[in-house]
Amino acid sequence: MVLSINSAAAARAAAEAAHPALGPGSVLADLNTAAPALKRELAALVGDAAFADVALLGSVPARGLHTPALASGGGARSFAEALTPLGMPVEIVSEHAGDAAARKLLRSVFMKGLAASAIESLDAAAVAGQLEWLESEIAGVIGEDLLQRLVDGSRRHAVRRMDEMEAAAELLVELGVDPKVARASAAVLARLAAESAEPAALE
Amino acid sequence: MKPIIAVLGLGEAGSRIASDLAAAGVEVRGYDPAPSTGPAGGGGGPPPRPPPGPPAAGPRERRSAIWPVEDWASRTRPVRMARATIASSLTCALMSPTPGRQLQAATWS
Repeated sequence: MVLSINSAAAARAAAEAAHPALGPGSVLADLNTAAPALKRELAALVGDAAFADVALLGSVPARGLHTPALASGGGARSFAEALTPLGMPVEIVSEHAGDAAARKLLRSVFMKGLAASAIESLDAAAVAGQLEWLESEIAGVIGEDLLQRLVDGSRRHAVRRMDEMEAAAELLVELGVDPKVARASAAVLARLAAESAEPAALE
Repeated sequence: MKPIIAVLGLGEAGSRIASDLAAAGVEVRGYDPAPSTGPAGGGGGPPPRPPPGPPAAGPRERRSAIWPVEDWASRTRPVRMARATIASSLTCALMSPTPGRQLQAATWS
């Protein structure tokens, strides 16, 4: 079992590197958040039976090996049989690579959209002098912990999540849905990424 | 038989999962990427340097694309994979569970 845990941009290079080393019965599990089309390309590269498309649902730094996962593709069952006894809750979605990634991205449209909404409204509230009030209001709806994770996680992982939302937007276009929220979320994350890349102001 | 799982990519998520796998009794073979220095390389972390370990020779020259786990312990920013190479004769095994995001123990074989 080989786990690729990188980024969509590195997924192909990792699969190409791993492919020659995969023995009979070995499975390459791609845990990167990527578009379904890329997952299908990776499956074609290493062979359907030897590939598992895995989508992690939740924060890995917070939950580690216990992060819930969706798996699809010819190697999904092998992945589940290997990782479930070790503590990872794995739901097999289908035998088709890309299906797990699609589910995650559909979820991300909501979760990252929620995060973008929280960030933009809080930014505005800060300017209006209403930050504490709005934080309390939002926390009353979604909980303080989730609000904190949405805001902090968006800033910390802005670049990766921007890529994720662009992949989500591509998926929605494929499905015939106008990805207004997905693109807006990507734009908010792009701003956060740019802000974090800016050098600190001189004092 | 003790399961063997290779982990390609030991950034924030990969290192955590590798550590948990090791703690669960799995023989983990972790492969670090060769970090890039551009914007996709983790926000401009330190430039790559040759990995320590046995001198490269012959087929083991492929290790130029592999970064030992111990080198990552000093890194504070996530680094994206630029390229990773698996060489069956060269493994980097996590020898003990490690807390948080730090990987503290690694050996070359």
